[in-house]
Amino acid sequence: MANLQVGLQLMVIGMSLVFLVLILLMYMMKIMSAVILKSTPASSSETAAVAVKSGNDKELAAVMAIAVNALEKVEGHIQINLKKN
Amino acid sequence: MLDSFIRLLNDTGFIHLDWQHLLMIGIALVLIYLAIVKEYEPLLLLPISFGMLLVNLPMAGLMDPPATVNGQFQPGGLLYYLYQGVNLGIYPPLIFLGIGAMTDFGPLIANPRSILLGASAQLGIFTALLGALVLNYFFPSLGYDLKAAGSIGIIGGADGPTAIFLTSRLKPDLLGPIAIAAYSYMALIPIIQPPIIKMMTTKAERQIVMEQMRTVSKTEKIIFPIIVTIVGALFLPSAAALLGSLMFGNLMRESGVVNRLFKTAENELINIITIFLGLTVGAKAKAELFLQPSTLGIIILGLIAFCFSTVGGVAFGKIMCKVSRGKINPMIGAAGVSAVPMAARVVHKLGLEECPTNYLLMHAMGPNVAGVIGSAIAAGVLLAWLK
Repeated sequence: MANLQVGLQLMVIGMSLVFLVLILLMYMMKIMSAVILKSTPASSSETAAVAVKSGNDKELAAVMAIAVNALEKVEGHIQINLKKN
Repeated sequence: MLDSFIRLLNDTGFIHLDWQHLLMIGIALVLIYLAIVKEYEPLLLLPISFGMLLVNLPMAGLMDPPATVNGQFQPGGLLYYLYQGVNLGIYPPLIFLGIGAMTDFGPLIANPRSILLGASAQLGIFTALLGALVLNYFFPSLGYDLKAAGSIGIIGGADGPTAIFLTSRLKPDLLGPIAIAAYSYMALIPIIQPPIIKMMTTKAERQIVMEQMRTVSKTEKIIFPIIVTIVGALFLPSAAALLGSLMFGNLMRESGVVNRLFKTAENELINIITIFLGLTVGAKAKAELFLQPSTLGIIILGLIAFCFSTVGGVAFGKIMCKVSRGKINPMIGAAGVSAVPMAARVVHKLGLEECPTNYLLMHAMGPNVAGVIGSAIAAGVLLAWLK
């Protein structure tokens, strides 16, 4: 009976600890991603936004190629997935 | 001359074979068949089953410790020395090093909430632990004390190296049946999980298409293993060996500056350790240890552990689906069971069955790799509490 009580305690405390550590990790990951993404250069995305507004596909393609090239030099290989609106 | 012949005959294994040896040899041959023909986790089941075969051949002495006989030192058997890597907790962290080198944590970093599914899928560990204690209450002859219950429970983590690491620390005598149960059930995940997932979810939930994940930068992938190591090891020092090895392997992969080391960890190192680990774990399945009522209990509780891990993951997936207003497909919770990548593939296949354009694989990989971290944390908890 004593072992059963310890088992129940272990279940509650054990699962709580697992959740606690992983929730902490989750928030650390979010903070890490926010900090890193914030420090990524924004100029290439601004230039692309201008090209989108002008409606010129060739211009947009050229801007995207330059932006991808610039980011790849910093971050390594990048894969772009396009969505149709 | 006759005396010499009789002495020679007495030294053969045939004279010392009994029904227990024959039964264990039969079981070993069945497991070898399952590994080779049915391809049930062959990378580990084949060495485990062969180790089981070797140790149950009488007089071979492969697991005998060193001894002094008539004043002369007799060295121990080959597998006895190789087993010290398990006994001293060396092999499982090295396997984790290789696993870390092979794992892409990108899907998890892109969707950090999926780490919670990796946590909820550890429910099976504690359910099986409790189940072992309940079973022992009604059948005391099983001999399941707290350490045995913890070792049985870790089967629910669906993580072989973690199960071996914890069991070798808490209850080494149960290492053979627990390792065999863990790897056999891992191979049966495509059969165990789908009925549970379908029972716990509606058709509409299974058809939820999730948004495409963002791209994860190289910097994030480099910093992630460092953060996990620091946070995990500070909270649970007992999990440091497993977590630290997993994350070091991953850091070698993501840093891109130690390709030689990364390739060695991913290939030669993990292959060598897999052979040693499998053979020596199988060699713990000696007849007198394996053919006990407790082994049957382990097989039943192992299945319960896997089922409840799936239940825990899907249940939390449903909660996340409600909270996110239908953006998360609850099936990905089942991938929190850390059999990488099998559980993720099961979820992906079920998703395609419901909707042929619903590609859930990368979404399921997040909880899947989170489950590896979750099971290491759970093992750390059990080790800290029960050792």
